[in-house]
Amino acid sequence: MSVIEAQALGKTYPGGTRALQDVSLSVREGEIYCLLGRNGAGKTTLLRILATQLAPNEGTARVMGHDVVRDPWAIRDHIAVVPQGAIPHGWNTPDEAVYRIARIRGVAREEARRRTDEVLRDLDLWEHRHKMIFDLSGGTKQRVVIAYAFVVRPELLFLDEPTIGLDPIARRGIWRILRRLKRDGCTFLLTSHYLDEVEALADRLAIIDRGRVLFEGTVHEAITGSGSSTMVDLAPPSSLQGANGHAETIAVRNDEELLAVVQRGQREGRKVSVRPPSLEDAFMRRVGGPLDEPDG
Amino acid sequence: MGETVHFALFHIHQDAKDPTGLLFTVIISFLPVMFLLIFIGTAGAIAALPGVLVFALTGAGIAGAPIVYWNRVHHHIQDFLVSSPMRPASFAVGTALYATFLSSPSLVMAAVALAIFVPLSVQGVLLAMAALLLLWTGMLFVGFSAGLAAKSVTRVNQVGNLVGLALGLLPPVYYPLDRLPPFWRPIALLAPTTDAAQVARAALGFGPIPLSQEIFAFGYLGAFAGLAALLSLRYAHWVEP
Ligand SMILES: Nc1ncnc2c1ncn2[C@@H]1O[C@H](COP(=O)(O)OP(=O)(O)O)[C@@H](O)[C@H]1O
Ligand SMILES: [Mg+2]
Repeated sequence: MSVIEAQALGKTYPGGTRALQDVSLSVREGEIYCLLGRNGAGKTTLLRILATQLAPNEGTARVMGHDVVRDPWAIRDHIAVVPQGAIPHGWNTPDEAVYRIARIRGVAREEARRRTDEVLRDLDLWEHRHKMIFDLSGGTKQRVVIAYAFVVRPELLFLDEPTIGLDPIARRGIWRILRRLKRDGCTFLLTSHYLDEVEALADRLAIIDRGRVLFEGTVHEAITGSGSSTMVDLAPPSSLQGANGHAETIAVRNDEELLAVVQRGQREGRKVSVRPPSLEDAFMRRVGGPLDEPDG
Repeated sequence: MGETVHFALFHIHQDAKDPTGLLFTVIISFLPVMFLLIFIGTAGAIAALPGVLVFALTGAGIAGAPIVYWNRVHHHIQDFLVSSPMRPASFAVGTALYATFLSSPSLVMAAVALAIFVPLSVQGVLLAMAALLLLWTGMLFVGFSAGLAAKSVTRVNQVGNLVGLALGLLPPVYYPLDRLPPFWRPIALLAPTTDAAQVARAALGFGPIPLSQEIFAFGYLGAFAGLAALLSLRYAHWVEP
């Protein structure tokens, strides 16, 4: 069964920015579904429409069987979000804030107490639980925001760039909990521009660029679907090292092409390495251009 | 209901850690009372106490605007709450409960002073409370809509200052309506704060007002509260357009 079903969604902001065009996708029950795209691709816009925070202009979307525009209240009981860039209230302690959020979401007193303790331990917030959030590091604050959503125990969890600002160990900690919640039956829609995160977590993903879905499928399909089975990296020629030399990455489809590229590399005196294609290659080919271009 | 109280407590936790911050509203709302005490005398100052209640509750409603604004734009807690079963009305009232907590020292001090210096009747107290509750309800939805609509911090502060001034300090809130020149009286009654203050003063025993004025005041306050609630829940953007 599809937990999320989007049909030809479009969004133009009142200012005129066309943020989404003809977006269709479906998220199945129990999977981690990732939206991968550069900054400004439209990930947050799409996530906020599906989480009933933002009205679309075109198309329809159903979440847990209910239309996001006509019937949002039927959806809201079952979901929670980690909004992008949320800053928790500084003069609360993690313990107070997470417990109070659980109560706001209708969890009874003792259950809220139990869940708060559990989530604080899970997210390595236990030792910080009585400190002012104000005094915590950026990554720890971000974990407090994630705790707000985890303590709800939703059936469908939306996470918008949840691991921005976290160190590699903390990120893996979050991934571990997501996988555990997934085993308990939770479904996830997660946006990211970190390729390793998507590769580590996604059951399926959509690659989004300039408001359009360029690909939908598994990580494996994203990698193999582009046709090439092997990648060859050619280092800059040794005589031209530094500013003049540039590295090349070439996708080859068969043995003849592979042999030709390797021979050219040797002729030009360049270091040659052969490897299987990665999600990064698949992403670069589809989106074309470096990740993280600072365009908002 | 529960969500409303817990949302207020979510914020109250913070200010409860440093209650001296609450003294600010005490100073502001008692300032006119101080002036009256110095320049007019004790009787004038005591008669101004209902004005403290009106001013503090108006301020609590308006203070919702910056609170809503910051929760939306900075903390993004609104995104979290929109994607939850919480109703916008609960959010508005919870915000106002928190803001009223910030005003609570003024409210408590004025109420205690009234109880000490004025012979109160139960009926009068209930009547005054009804008028103040209607005023509070209307103001909280004004604050809520302004907080949702504001495009910038500057704007939300401007709205707060202007509305606070226009409704809390300019109209006859701390003194009787008949101190104004006759020309200004009907205009002053357009401010719901005037109506609430006049009803509260009369009900608490500071000189009666005509029954017709009382009926008009309750009708006006009821319409203000009802329309503010209706319009803001209908048109303010809980879901972003
Ligand atoms: N509230 C808004 N008003 C106008 N334009 C917006 C708004 N939010 C986002 N945009 C624009 O819409 C596009 C998509 O933004 P967004 O969905 O935030 O992308 P992402 O999350 O992938 O970085 C960008 O061009 C962005 O500038
Ligand atoms: Mg985003």
